[in-house]
This record gives sequence, structure tokens and C-alpha cells, in this order.
Amino acid sequence: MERSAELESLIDRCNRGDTRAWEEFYGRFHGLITSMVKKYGMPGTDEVEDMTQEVFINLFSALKSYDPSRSIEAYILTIARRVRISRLRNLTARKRGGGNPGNAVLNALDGGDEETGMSVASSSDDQETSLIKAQETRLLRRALDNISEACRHILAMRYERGLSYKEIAETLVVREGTLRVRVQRCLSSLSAAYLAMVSEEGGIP
Amino acid sequence: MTADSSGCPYGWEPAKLLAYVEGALSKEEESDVERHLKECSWCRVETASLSYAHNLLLKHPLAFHPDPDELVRFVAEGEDSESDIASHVKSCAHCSEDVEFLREMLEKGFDVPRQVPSMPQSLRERLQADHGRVTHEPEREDLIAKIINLVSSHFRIPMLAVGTAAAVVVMAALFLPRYAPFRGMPSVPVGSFEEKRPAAAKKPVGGFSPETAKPQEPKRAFADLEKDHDTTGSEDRSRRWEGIGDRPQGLASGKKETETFGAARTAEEASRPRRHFAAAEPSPEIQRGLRGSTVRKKENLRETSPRVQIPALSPSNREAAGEQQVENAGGWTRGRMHAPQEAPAPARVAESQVAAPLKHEPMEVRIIDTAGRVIPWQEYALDSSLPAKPSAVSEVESPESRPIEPADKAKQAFTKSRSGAKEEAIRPGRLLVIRIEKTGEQLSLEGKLFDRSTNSLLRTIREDNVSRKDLRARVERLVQRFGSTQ
Repeated sequence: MERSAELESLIDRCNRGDTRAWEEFYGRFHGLITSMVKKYGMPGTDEVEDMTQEVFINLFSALKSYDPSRSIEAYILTIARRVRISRLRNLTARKRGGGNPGNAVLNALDGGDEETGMSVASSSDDQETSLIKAQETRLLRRALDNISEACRHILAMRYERGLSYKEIAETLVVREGTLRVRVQRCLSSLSAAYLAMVSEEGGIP
Repeated sequence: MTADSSGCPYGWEPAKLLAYVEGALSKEEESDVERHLKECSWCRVETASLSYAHNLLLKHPLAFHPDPDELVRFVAEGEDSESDIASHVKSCAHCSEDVEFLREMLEKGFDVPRQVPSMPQSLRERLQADHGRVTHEPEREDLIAKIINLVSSHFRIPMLAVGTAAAVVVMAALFLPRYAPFRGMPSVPVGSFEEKRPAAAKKPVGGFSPETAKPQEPKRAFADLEKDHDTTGSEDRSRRWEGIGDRPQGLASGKKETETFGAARTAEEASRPRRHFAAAEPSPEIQRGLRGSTVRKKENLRETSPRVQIPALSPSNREAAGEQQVENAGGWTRGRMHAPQEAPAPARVAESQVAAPLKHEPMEVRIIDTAGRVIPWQEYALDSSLPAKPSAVSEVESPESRPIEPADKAKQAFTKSRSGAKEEAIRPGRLLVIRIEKTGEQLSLEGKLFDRSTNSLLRTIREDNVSRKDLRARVERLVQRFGSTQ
């Protein structure tokens, strides 16, 4: 309880732009974030340090949307995951030698477009927007649980890791045309599952 | 929203719709799809469905993994009612890493050794860029925050909060009546409305007057009314006071009022000892409150009060009584300083003057806006090189008069509130207040001449439909007219 009140006060001061509070926050969570980043298997010390800084940079704005009822470690983990996904996408794009062919939206994600790419609230989000995003993520998780494992796997490769159809086809050893049809069917199933979740909760999609 | 499984009746490949949704088609192919979508409802539904899921996944890439909060609970408390997380962790390498990491951290109580003592400069710069002005909050704020936390923690318990609120209400109920007399609040029940009438007579109904800028002491004002009661005069202000019982004492003779009642006060009265109000009489605060009552209230009372019998004014006695006249192209008609709708522009639309002869005295001129603020002359002048005051104003100004700056106004108001407006009582001469209003593209001028010694309104002239280019000349002419009739 004491820790919680103290942490709340620290976060509050951070959000008010107190550099001393940010120094304290940095010292307090640097070790945790570095450990997280190392677990993600990012090669090289510089890479780890860069990614740690990126997590902090994201936190500078995202901490304003932090819900004190949640665990701060879980929240930091969310941000770290987001940074990891962004890095993975960039890495994939670099390997590909440029953007995602024929997909402007994924290219934007490769460039780290936070507004369109991430579900974690950004600094520009108000409380209502954050809540809507959280609700969407929750329903989408449930919808993904309701589609087949194979579909989930394909969609994760496509939308989480940002792989191209060619890369996925090579991984799964299938023809690209076949893969496209599968993705289309998986998306249709997901859409139906999501709408079912929404109507179950009495919401409007 | 999803299409049925029958497929496109025209035989289109759904994968092409996906490529369209992803923006992977050429312009020509896109046009083909769009043409097809216009005629094929199955493809329209399918495209909408694909687009919906596609955008959701782009927006929420973390949805492929359990919520980190759930992971923390799963690791810390083993909470996983439907074994979803456990099965996901088995199949997901990333979540498996996260779970392993969280277990490790929980064992250490998230107490990770601090290897970096301070934030790197690059990060500090980024922080500064993100947060704009970044400050070090003084330590005392921490102390204040702790105190606030300590105090507010008690209010988190509903019973304590309700109890405290009830105690505050009881304390207020007990002590406020005792405290009230010291604040000048009425310590006796408020009497009937008739008993308060004299005070109500001091209410400036609208417009502007010296009183609006120079508040008078209420008790003194009450004495003024009594003095005025001794004088006899015409019924010229009857319309203001119709229906509020007896004609208010103090609005009798020789003084013209339009929108504002000037309180007569002489040096003799100023020296008169203040009146102590008995319980039956309303206190100055009540009077002030009554002054705040609306004219409508007074008019309602007019109908019910048997004490008022004021005949309607005929056109002849209206003029005799000094009723404000409106000069129109066709002649004189009764009015209250409203421009006639068909009045040609520009036109002098209203003028009022008391019959009593005016003597030549120094005249101070103030040019104000609707809110009573002194207007810099340049604001309305076309040529910014014009002097700060119109020459005509300078010529007729009394030596002590000068444009009043807002700071001076505040200072004056403060001084007056302390000295009971003694300064105004002994200040001789006339005050001409010219109010400039913007009415669309045109301007309106309203000049009011007050006698400072009696605080009474002597004359009103209003001009509407004044163009900006004519303003300077119009103001000068207005000042000259007031000056010449003194």
C-alpha cells in the first residue's frame, strides 16, 4: 500500500514534468527495463541500451495514460513489447531491403507510426480514447481466441511481425496465392468473431 | 457484416478484395474493383468485413498476446481460470519469455540493482522536448503532497467524510447568525416591501452614470433621498417609480433621469450624521438587495399597491415633466433614446435636457465603451497619428480632468470606497460621459452630462448611425454642444 502511494506520487510528479522525479523513475526502472529488453534477445549491448532508451522515450508520453489500478511493471512490459514489435518490424523491413511491397499501411507501421500502429495509449489520447482502445484490444483478444490456431499464427506473422506474403509463404512452405486466400478467410473469420463479441457485450462496432 | 460463403456471383476472387483493402493494387485495378463493388453486394459486404478486421489488427498488434496485467497475475497468483494463458504461453515464445522474466523479477520483488545512476543526456533532452518546460519542483511540494495525502486519506472513508461534512454544516448554522451582524447582515426578519422602498429608490436601473464608476456609500445615499423628499418637483420620473408604493423620496425636482438615477447629495448632507436604522427599517444591505430587484418587480407591485396613483402622462405634460424626447425627421415623438427605425443615417436621434438653466462650469469629458472602460481615442480614429484626445475635448476639459487609466480607475474606486466618496462631493463642475457603442459597422454616441455637486443627470444626447470616419468630428461636435449649453 505504501509502495503504491509513493509510486503514484512519483508518477504524478513525472507527469507534471518534474525532472527530478523522472531521474528517480529512471533509476528505479532502468534495471527492470534493461532486463526485459535483454530477455527479448536483442543482440549487442548498444542495441539493448538503445531499446531501453526507446522504452523510456515511449514512457515519457505514455505514462500519462497509466491507470494506477494496474501494475506498473505490467504497464512497462506493455510498452516494452510495443517497442519490441516496432523494432522487429523495422528489422524485417531492413532485411527486405525497404518497405513492405504493396502495403502502405504496414510501411507506416515499419516507420513506427504510433498513432495508427499501437493500441497502447499515446500522449494525445484522452481518457475516453484510451478506454475505447483498451476495450477493442480486449475484444480482439477474445475474437482471436475463437479462431483457429493456424489462422492466429498466420495473422500474427502478417500483422504482429509485419512479414510480407512472400516471407510468410516461404516460412510456411505454401504458394503465395494460396496464402493470400488463407489470410482473406482468416480475416473474415476474425471479423465475424469480433462482431459476435461486440454483440454479446451489447456494444456497437 | 460478413458475407455468406456462397462467394461472389460474378466469380471474383476474394483475395483480390483483400489486396484492394491492403492498398496493394494498381490504380487501374483499384478502379476495376470499385466499379465491381458498385454492382456486387456480396463483394461489398466481404470488403467491409476484411477492412474491419485488417484495421483492427493494424491498430492492436499486441492483441495476439495476453494482457501483461493478466500475465503478472498468472505468474504471481496462478490466476488462469480457463487455462487460456497457460496454453498461450506454451505456444508463444515471446509470452514464454515474458513469463520467465516476470517470475524472476517477482522472486526479487522487482528490486533490480540500479546500474545507471543518472539519466543520459540524450534522454534528458528528449524528455525536455516532450514535456516542454521541465522544472524541478521544490521539495516543499513533496511535503505539501504528503500532508494532502495524509488529510485526504481520512476522507476516503465514506462515514468519516459524511460526518465531517455534517459537522461543517452544523458549525455554519450555529455560528453564521452570530457572525452576521458584524458583517452588516440583517439581524432581524426582513420587513414588508413598503418598508424598504426608500432604499430601493437608489437603484440605477441601467445605462451608465457617475454612480456606476463612483459607488456611493449606501447610508449616505439614503440620507440623500430623505433630503430630496423635502423638495417638491414635477412627476418627471414617475415612469421609473410607478407601482412601487409611494413615489420614492429623492427623485423629485429639477433633475432629469433617463436610464440612471443620480443621487442628490450636498455638502450639507455629507456632514449630516449617519442614520442608525431601527429594527423595523431595512439595513443598507437589504436596501442594496432591493436595489438589485428588477424593474419588473416594481411594476408588479404597482398594480397591487393602493398607495400609488400616478396618472398616465399626456403628450403635453410629458414634455413639461422633462420626459425624454426623440427628435425625428418628422418632429418630436415620445421615446426613450431608441433610434426610430426609419431614421435616416446619420441622425441625431435623441436629446433630453432639463428646463433648469445651466451655469458655466468646468467640464470633464470621458469617452468610454459600453462596459465603462475608457477608450483610447486612436482605437476609433482612422488616422493613428491623431492625438490621444480630440482637440475639442482638450479645450473644454477642466484643469483637473484627464483621461482615466484603468489603474487610476481602480485606485479611485478603492479610495472612494474608503472615504465614502467625499472627494466626489467636493469636486466641482460637470462630468460629460460619452459612450461609444459599436452597432454593426456603424457607431452610436451617447453623451450624458452630470452635475458633480448633486450627482444628477442634466442632459442626454444620443446619435446613431455614425460612421467611423465621421466619429472624431461627431464627438467634437457633441462636446461642443454640451459645452455651449452649459
